[in-house]
Amino acid sequence: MIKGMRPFPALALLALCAWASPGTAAVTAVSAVHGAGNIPVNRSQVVTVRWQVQVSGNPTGGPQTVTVRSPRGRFLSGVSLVQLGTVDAPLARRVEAPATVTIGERLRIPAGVLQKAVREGGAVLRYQREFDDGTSSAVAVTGELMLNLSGASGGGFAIDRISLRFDDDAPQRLVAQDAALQARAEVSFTGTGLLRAVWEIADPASTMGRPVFRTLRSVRQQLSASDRVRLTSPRLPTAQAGLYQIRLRLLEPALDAAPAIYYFVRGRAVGQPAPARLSLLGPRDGGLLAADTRFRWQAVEGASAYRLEIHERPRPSGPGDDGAPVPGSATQGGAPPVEGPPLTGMLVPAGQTASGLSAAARSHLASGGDYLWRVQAIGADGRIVGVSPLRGLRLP
Amino acid sequence: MGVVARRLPIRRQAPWWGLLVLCGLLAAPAGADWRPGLQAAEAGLRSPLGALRVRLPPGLPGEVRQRLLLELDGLDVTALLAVEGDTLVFTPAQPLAWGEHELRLVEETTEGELLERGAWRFEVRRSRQLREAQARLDAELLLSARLAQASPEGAPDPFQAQGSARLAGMAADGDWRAGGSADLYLVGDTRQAPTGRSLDLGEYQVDVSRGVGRLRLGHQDVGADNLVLREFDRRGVSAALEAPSGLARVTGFAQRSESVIGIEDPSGLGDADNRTGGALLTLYPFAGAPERLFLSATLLSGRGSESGYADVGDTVTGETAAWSAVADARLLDRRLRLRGEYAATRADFDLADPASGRETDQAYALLADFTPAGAPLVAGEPLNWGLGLEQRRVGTFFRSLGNAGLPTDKFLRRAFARLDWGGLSLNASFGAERDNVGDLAFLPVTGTERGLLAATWSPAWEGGGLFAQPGFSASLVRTRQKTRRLPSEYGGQVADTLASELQLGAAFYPGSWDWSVGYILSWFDDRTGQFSDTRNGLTTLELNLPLGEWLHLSPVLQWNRLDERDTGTRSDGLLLELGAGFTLLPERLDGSLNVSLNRERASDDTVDTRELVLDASLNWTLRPARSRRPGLVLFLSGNFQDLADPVSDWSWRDYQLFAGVRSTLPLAYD
Repeated sequence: MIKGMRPFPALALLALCAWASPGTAAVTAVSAVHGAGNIPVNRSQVVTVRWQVQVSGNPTGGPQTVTVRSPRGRFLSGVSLVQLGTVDAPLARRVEAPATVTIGERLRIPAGVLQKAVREGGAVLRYQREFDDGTSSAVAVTGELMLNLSGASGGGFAIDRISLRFDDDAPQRLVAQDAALQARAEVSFTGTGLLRAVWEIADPASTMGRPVFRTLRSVRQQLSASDRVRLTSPRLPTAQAGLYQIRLRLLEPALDAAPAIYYFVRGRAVGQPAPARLSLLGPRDGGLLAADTRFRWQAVEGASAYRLEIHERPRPSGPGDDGAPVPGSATQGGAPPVEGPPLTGMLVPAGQTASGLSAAARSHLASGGDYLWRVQAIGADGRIVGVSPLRGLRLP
Repeated sequence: MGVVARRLPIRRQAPWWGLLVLCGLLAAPAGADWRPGLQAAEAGLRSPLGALRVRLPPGLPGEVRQRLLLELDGLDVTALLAVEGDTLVFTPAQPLAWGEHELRLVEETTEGELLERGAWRFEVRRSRQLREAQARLDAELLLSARLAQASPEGAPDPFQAQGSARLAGMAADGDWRAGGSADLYLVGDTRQAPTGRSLDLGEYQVDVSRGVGRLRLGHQDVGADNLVLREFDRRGVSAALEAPSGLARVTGFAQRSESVIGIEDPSGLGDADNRTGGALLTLYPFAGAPERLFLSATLLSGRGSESGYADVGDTVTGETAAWSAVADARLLDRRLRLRGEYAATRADFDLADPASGRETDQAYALLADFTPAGAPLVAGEPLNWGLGLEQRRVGTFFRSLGNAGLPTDKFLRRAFARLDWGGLSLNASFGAERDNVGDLAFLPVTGTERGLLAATWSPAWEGGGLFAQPGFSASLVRTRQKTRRLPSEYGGQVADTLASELQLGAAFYPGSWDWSVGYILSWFDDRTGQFSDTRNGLTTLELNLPLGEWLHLSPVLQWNRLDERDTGTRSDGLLLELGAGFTLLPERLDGSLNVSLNRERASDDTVDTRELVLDASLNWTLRPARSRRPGLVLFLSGNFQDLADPVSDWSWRDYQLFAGVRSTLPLAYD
């Protein structure tokens, strides 16, 4: 009781003080760490920041719950301290003071900020946040994270971009039952490290309700020196009709989102079975076409004719694409796909499972040429009932 | 009364003498310069399966007939010829495509030369009004009811509808062609729907061409492959003009910068801050040998981000303008390839930030690839080889929305070689690259050296057996990275690492089934001590085994082991999957079962997860779908999932059981 004050005003004053100052818990220190390594200046980066905020307790004793908050962050040049950008994403955490609380933040450093940092000069980018205890009288404490910049190859291992498509570059597919289908992910990355990921699929047995993803294949690939790689999924299931979802979930380095793409398998109609696999017996992949070369294959049930096709091998067209085969891929089925009608070939009746090339067919081929060949089995109704993989063929 | 023969006057005898001469000529054996004729189509229209009849001159010697070869569109179809007197008849085994075809009859002379006796171009038409006309609808509707679920909270409505439809059609005649296709989707649970809408449009395309012009609307890739535009498959519009010879083409395009599906923004051009447009010019200057030189120029500008549907990347909207010029020559009978490209971009990385400004940068790519003529024989097999050089520089701030994800800030020099002998192919390359191509003094320079050796081998194999039709592959990649220049007072990490990866693979095709095995060993050594050294081995075994007509098995085994040398931690992962498709009653009762077990464990007990997933389905076909008649299938399907993570003290178990009906409708007019 304050001497000289009447009881009621004194109580009111005490209450007012209590309301105005619920506690004197306060943010006393802020530090930050991240595990991302150097930040390459050529592309935007996502880093995980851990803010450690110390909150002092109420000097009058007893626990006190406060909300530690930071309304926004900002980027500053490490040299000139010029503000380069802001992050309008608040952080907040309720904590029982006194305590040291760790608040995580997935921070995207925009390419524009990095570009301005380079323009300012200096190899350091500063990221600051102010934290307070959320009260009106709170005094904010600034925490700062120092990010070391580097060139593209010197950056920490991180994924810049991932693009998921099917093998024909479409983001969605409608396919027939038992059709061949694969997905591919194009991954742009910085730094060096072991990529760990899993291809996962949810099939019609669960997509009618709560989709359940199961692991299709694990991916482990050593990536180096900031580049772009293409990961191809295993052959996707198409035996059951319905809705499928396929995704590539990155385990390390992690991504916030695992992009998923969808495909529908439509039921089979009578008379429309998927072509069977036609096995080739010779010549081997990459073989040389001699005068006595015979193309041989295994018979396919239901065939009324076989078509031996010879295609020109697609020429690499892009920058730096020398057409070298993908390391580690088995040869069979590894030939590039062909489009359009064949250059030449032979059409033979069903009872024949071998054929040479006639003089007329050979006349379409150039000396020293590089070709691809395959055999298709044709049914009595004209449909394709069997298809072989492509094999390479060279002319002397 | 007898018959009085009267002698005809001479002038009345002339026609008769002429007729005798004509008969004599017709009856005489064909001369060396004989020509066959293609019989006209019945009713003047050739149908896709209509027989082609080539009439030979009568009296053609048998030994000449034996040497005749018939080609249809370059394919030798002689083996399927039927002979009706003096007429060779070929009935197509497959319906011929609508449009023009070429039929050729050649004679292989006794000297081994080919004499073209006849060549005809003909058209397969649907009708007199239209050369081609097709329409197709493939629709599927699936109605399901959830019968049981262990954890129904948060699950979608028990009654669901899903479906898909593809509409496609085209018509053509003369020099015009119009066609299109569209995919529609129905996903009753909007949380699962790709766009959040139950019924929506997927990809679509409308294509109209006439003469040298073409207009395309919808999802498309204008076909460029260079530093500023590559695999840019987006929704939009393009218009192209192509010279009748095909040797020159100019294309203008405007497309949505970000990938999209759905009815939102159907043209792809509705958002000015999400649009990229430009022009592409391609030219083959040498008409007689177009492969000798290819020129192209690309201009584009646009706004947007690097993210979109199924793309995860930078979401900040920027603006870029870019151009590229390419020259690609194949000389010395296509044995020497020389390619050069120069490109430049001007980019504003953040449109929302007025202070971001624009950054210009450049890139170039040079490639030389040589394959010598002639192949020496080694052990009876030709030895082909080739080698090449590449140099590429991409500026630090080089950026084009048409080629998002292009590795930038890179200067690369690489040499490569290849060798083919028998069934063996070898590839080797060695490259050196560095970053900080702008030579910023305050940033370090990191150099990378990468060596690659890869081999594939397909030995000749006769007969069957477990290892029939083998194919082997192996590759070794080693990458050394080191900080070459370190500015004083630089506080960041320096690089001194060696990363290697060995891949081995083998695949075998004993007959109707196949199997393969693969092994990948990766190791990473960091000499700075900042990162843990690691060793990772991944083994994969796959089998594809059809057992008669009623069962198909596809088991997979994957085992992974990761050792972190610095901490001594070992992580093991095991994936066991068995897929089975079965047919109990042909065309009536079939189903599938899939069991997947995934286990991950770490030796320091920080990771211990187990995942078991079972999917099963049983389908009873009440009525099979046929062309223009919907099918009806009753199905029962279920899913069981058991997840456990003892480290986090978390587990989850759920099952779902569904029943429903599915209808497939294929409708086609062709």
